[in-house]
Amino acid sequence: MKSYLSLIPISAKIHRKESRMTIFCIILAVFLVTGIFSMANMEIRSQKIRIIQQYGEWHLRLTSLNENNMSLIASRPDVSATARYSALNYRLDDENYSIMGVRRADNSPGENDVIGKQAVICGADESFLNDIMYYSVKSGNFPKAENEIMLTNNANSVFNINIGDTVEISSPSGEISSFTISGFGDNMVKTESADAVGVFMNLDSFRQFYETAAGQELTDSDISFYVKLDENSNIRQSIREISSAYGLDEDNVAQNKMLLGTIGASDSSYMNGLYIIAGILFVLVLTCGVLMIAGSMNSNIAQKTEFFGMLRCIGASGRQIKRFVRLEALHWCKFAIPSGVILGIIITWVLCAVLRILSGSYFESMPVFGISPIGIAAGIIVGLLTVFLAARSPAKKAAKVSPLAAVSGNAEAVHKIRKTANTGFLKVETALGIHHAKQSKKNFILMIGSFAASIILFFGFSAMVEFLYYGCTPLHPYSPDLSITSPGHFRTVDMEISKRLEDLDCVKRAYGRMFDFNVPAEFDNVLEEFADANHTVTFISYEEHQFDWTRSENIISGNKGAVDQVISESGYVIAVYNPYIPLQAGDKIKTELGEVTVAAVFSSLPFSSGITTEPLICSESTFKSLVGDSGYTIVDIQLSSEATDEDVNLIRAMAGSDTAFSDKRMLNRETRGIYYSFALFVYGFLAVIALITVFNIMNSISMSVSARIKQYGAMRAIGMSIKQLTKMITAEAITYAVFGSITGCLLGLPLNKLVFEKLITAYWGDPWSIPLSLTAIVIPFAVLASAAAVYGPVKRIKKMSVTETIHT
Amino acid sequence: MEILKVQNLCKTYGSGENRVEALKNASFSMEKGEFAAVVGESGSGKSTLLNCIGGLDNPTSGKVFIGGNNLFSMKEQQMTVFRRRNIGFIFQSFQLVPELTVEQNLIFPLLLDYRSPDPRDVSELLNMLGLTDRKNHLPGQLSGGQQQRVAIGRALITKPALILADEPTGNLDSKSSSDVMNLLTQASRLYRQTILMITHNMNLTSSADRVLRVSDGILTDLGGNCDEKLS
Repeated sequence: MKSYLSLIPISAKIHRKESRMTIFCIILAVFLVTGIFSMANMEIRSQKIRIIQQYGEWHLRLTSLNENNMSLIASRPDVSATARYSALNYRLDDENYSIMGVRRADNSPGENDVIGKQAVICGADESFLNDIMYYSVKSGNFPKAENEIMLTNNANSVFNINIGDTVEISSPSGEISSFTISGFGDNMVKTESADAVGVFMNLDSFRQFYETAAGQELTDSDISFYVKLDENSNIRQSIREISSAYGLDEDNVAQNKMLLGTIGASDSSYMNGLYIIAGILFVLVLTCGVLMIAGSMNSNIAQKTEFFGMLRCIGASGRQIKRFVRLEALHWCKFAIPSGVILGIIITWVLCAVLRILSGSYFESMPVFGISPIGIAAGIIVGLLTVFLAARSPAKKAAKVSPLAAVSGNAEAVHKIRKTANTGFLKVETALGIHHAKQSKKNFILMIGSFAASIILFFGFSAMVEFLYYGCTPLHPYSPDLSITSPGHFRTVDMEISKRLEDLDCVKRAYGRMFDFNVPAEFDNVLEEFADANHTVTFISYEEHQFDWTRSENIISGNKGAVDQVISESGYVIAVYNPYIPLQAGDKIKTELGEVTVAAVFSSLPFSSGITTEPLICSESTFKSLVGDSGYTIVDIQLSSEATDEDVNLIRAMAGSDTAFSDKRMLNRETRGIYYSFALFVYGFLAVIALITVFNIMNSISMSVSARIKQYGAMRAIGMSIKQLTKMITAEAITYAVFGSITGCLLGLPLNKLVFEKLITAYWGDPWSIPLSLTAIVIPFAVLASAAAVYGPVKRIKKMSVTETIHT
Repeated sequence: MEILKVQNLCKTYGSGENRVEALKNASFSMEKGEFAAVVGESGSGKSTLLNCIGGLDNPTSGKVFIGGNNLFSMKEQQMTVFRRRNIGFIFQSFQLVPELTVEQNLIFPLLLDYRSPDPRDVSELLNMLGLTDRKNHLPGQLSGGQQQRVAIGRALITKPALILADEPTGNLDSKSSSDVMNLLTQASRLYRQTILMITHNMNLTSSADRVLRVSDGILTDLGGNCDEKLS
């Protein structure tokens, strides 16, 4: 032994059992931090890839720049790529931009087909596709020559056209221009969901088409200049410099805020808000980690009071003891930190795999076996920092141990008793257990606070999960994968199509709706300020599938039999909650088409109401009796999991060219992905909080047992059974759990109500009700936490030698 | 009437070179109402003997009968209940429950047995211990002597077959020691209580009916009290 500190590894070996819990707590803290940061890092990396795939890899979009300034910007050392881009009918709001006909190069049948598919016309440099959008050319080439175009891949399958064929494109001027197809590129979400085609041409061709279409020249303000900055440069400064050097105001400079956010260079308040939330979470995790490890170390010190007393007896100073405790804590880190980091990496891999299984296409860019240096570094730093901070208080406590403790044992650790236990009503062991819990006010408040904090967070976060469910449409049972719509929202879709579609193997369900929009109506009860407005209703017909889904929705007014009443009786409708038109079940609504009765008011339906308009759901027979015979306005289709792109093309063909076809699969996948990652985060966070609570309680009970071990020995000697001792410790834990749960529920329920009302009631009108199921989860959690907390100490007591305990 | 019978009690710690024989074939018995003192040097094995008789420690071999019951043929839970009802303990460091009042500490073994104490018995005992006016005090508010008196009362409350006292005066001044010894003698005489007391103070053996000596794990019965024998 070179110094007294050489005792640390020896002591660690001897006190291995006592140190096990502390080491476990350090591993847990490091594991959580590594896991959280690695996941966040992976998520940011994958989000960055997704954002680049979806919105492109550009940082600045500038307009009103002349060619000269564009080349000056492109030559800056902090600019890694630039591209020019312009588009017509980007919002798909002008049907005059359409593909009107196809002339095949081999003059095969179908020549001069009139197609009339809407088109987005884009003119861009090739670098726009290669360096900014990473838009891949599936076949052929980017259009280089005049009158060459590239189409999105859906055109290839829909029109059965090939490279070299000629396409005729109409424009609002009435002129039809012919272009030769040079290639096909990836589909775009926008064109796919709107059943439109994307057309790319080089900027010179676009300039000519623009002149023909718009009857004027393409100006600098019509061209967007995309700038990709070097990520190693100071991006914020580069943005400021470029904006000021070329006299560009806010209207002419757009930033890719989402991409900038992922590299920490965004100045948007939303992104900054996210950074603040991340910071708060970091501090929260750090604090929880410190509390957990400090609790465990305190418990450890309490079990070793005599050891420190002995050191003090033989001449160790308080400062030396402090140093000893701190270094001992760091000694544990040698094993605990690498273990925590490895576990953190493994859990990140598992979670990434889970996300990919749940929503493969959305998370396909997420690496499965990725290593996050940031996550590992955070784990190590937080581990060391937490242990060092956590060791402060136990080190002080150990330094204060009197040498007398070495002689008299742990008895000193018990607080000075001022109150007696009430053995009048309860069994003596239960009374003593409750008394032990309440003996130290500070400890009691800390313990119930720890319990309550977890429960409060449970209640707060659960409302957020509900919000996500309300907000994410694809998670609703009625969310379609495909939709066939009557152009102009008339009722022209053949009603038989849903039956024909359901016969296909690839179709799980097909269900149509008829709409009659803006039917003038009179309501008995409207808000005073809108009393003079012209109110309208929109009649929407449902068939059996949709009525079945409606049954699971929340009813604000009316009873559960209302849906059957609407199906079987003519003249009955279902309304949706509308704060401006407060309807009740039984209300009569006079409409231009006839009077209807409200059977029930639902909190949420797929159709939103407005200040002066209300959607009314009715049966197909009621609809026909009011409006007359017609076809569907929309037919929604849910596909089976085996459905392929070929199946979708088949359905598209069945829908015919006189309907609009919308493919929402890609959008649904994205929303599901967002839901899963958010839910994983929320539930993961809840699990962390729950774990930390359990460990705090375990440590606290363990400390309490350590402090009273001699007393327990004496009690065993005079006839207290192990069962009675267990009951006593359980009573202590249950006291914390009961008081903590009551406090948690009392504070958590108002928080749940507040969050629910702000997020859900305000938008969907669902009234808040006591979340009984959640409360039912909280109670078993409290019981489980107490049971887990009692297990360790009881095991210790069972092994306790009565004679040794008494005679120490 | 034989209350305690110890037969060939052996206790060995460790093995091989570290083997220590703390008790070697100790055998003796005690009659009802007998007050015996066990003397011996530190580490001689007297505490081991007491712990084995009280069922707090398991002997390596040998038997202990209390009231005819073989202590080590019982299971853990059975032995705990037996101990609670038939053996009273008095420790050197009192070992009272700090959260309970004098009266509650006194009746604690009865409470553990889910029995209601007879108020007259409690009152009589408090009176005998001289603690009537202190019955609502916590142990922390009492002197060492008073605490030990509470511990004696706790040992007596169940009217056990045997009381085991481990250096009951070890932490007390001479006045308190004398009070405690008087109480134990009184209990032995008044209630015909069988008491086995460990002490290293030879002066205290004068109160005992019989003295046993333990030396290097070997028990020797010295017969009447130690002074008598020596004289």
